[in-house]
Amino acid sequence: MRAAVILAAAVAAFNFAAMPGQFLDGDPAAWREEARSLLLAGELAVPGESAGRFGEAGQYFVRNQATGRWYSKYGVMNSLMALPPLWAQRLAGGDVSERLTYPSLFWFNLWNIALSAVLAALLYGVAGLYTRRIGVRVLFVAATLYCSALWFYQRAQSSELYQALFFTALFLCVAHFLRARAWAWLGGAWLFALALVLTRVSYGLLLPLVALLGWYVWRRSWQEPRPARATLALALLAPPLLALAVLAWVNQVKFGAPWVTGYHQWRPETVAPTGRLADGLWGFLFSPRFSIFAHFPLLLLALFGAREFWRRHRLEAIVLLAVFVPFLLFISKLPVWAGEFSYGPRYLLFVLPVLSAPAIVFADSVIERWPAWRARALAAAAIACLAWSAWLQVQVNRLGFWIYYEARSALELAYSDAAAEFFRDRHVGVVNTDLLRYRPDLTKLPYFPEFQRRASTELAEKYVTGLGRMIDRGNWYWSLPREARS
Amino acid sequence: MGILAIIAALAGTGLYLISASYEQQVAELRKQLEQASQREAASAAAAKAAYMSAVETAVAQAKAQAQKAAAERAAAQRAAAEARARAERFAAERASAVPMSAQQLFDPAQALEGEGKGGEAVKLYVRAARSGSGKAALRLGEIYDKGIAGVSRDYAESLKWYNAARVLGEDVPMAKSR
Repeated sequence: MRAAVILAAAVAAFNFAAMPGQFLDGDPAAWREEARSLLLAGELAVPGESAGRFGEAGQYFVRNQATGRWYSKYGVMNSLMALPPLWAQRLAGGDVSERLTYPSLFWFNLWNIALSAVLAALLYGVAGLYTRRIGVRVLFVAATLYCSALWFYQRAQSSELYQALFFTALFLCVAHFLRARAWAWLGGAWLFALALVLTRVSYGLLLPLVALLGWYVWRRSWQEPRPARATLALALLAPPLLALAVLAWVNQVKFGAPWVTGYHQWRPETVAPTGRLADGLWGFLFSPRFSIFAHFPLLLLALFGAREFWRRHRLEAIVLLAVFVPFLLFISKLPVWAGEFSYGPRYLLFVLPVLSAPAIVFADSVIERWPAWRARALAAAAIACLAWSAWLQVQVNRLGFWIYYEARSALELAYSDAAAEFFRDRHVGVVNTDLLRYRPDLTKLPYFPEFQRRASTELAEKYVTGLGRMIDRGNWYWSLPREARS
Repeated sequence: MGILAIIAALAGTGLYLISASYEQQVAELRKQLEQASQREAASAAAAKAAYMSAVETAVAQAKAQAQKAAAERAAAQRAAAEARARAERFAAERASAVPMSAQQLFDPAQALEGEGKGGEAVKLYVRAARSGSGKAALRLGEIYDKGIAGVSRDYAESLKWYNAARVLGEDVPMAKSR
């Protein structure tokens, strides 16, 4: 427990030093407005004039046809999770009343740091299920948080961080429930499943899984004191029904009907599983821009430990597969499987930290079983792999959240084939490395000569100046001029 | 003899009555015929007057249409001449190898947008942005974000142009971001 607290404190301190210097635009702005409504007026509805100024109708805000009022189209948990930093800002004397403006970056950063610290403690707990070695547990947590795309999402003020947190907590509860057969843990699992469902409706896929686990444990514990059938039915049916009832009630209030999810007014075809499965699968497994292995290299080490993990912790392995495989297939089938503007496999990020757990078993087996020189060689290779990934993440986090897309506008501005080639399916960390390497003279960027030939002199000059300014601005809070820190 | 006289008198009286009735009928028929011919003459005169009036109206309308068409033809010829002149001007500018600056393209694009010619305005905005105008890129982002007459909304296009605007030094407000 003490080690977990120290680790969480270390994560908090590190993240405090490495806070981002900008807000992540887009979806989170919508639920921040809803949170603002909650704080200012005690209701979820966002004034129509604000909603109308932000994207197309239904893109971020949905109009309830019955009441004519506007609401964020995203799960209500997102708005609730944006409430604490806004509230803290107001308590500290800040003004949160002006619509469609950025709130305090400082308070939102602090909130993300708190969530990251909790996630670190939970991951330490997950690692504790598979090893007693404190060093391995700490290394697992550090590799999960900083050698992966999760670092970007610890900094970004979006929802991926608390999705990962809720799922890690859910898994921890499920694992304890399977091991100790203490029914209180099932209650915890239901609670975090509800939190996930209220964050994004597709997490409803988890509800039957948790119920099935409850039924399985009840069947297996026939020699022990166990709940009566009626109690079991209540424990397995009441929570998912309650979750669905809460979701239906929120949908009724926000969107005008219990079964309407908020994704119906703007490009509903993109959230239906009508895409090409092979595209999503290829992207999630092999594409440098979206591959789970490129953005979460612990999974590579987990592959080495998968067999041992299956042998030793079969039930938990089945649980992980029962979550990962359906989500992988479902999300791969969506036309927007990559998540529009995004970094890495963000729709699968919630499960990746826990899915990496077999890496812990692998690390333990390396230490325990193998001859020392092979163990050292493997450890060196693993550390080199993680260090390379950590370095890529540093490059990603050094620059603005969306600089990849901004630099890529060379494509639109001058129909540059060379730019298209430069940005095509490359890891953002690699692209950022190039941008930083060529910063002293951006005209030496590989695509620039062709871009320059196709562009006017004015455009080429402005592009270089603008891109240079963006690179120089960076994305560290403490590098901002004092007056620019909000 | 007496009987014969009576029969003759009766026959004479009958014949007289028959001939009197016949004459009366003929007179009535004549009268009706005269009335009918009078009515016919009156209606023919009215029809002729209406016909003449319609012909006059049609002639007047045809004249007006011909005048309007002539005016339109003249306007079209003037517009075509102006377009030719513009094209020649553009060709001359291009031939003299002096590219139009971003601002030179941005101003007419704004004017076209003001006139409600959204499609043409977008073409010029794109040229302006591709010449380095951040303002044009920002305006393109806004146009595709909200849509204007002749240009429908396009989320992906809008984001592309907002990104380009940022790189070209424009400050893109939060409500116009991803």
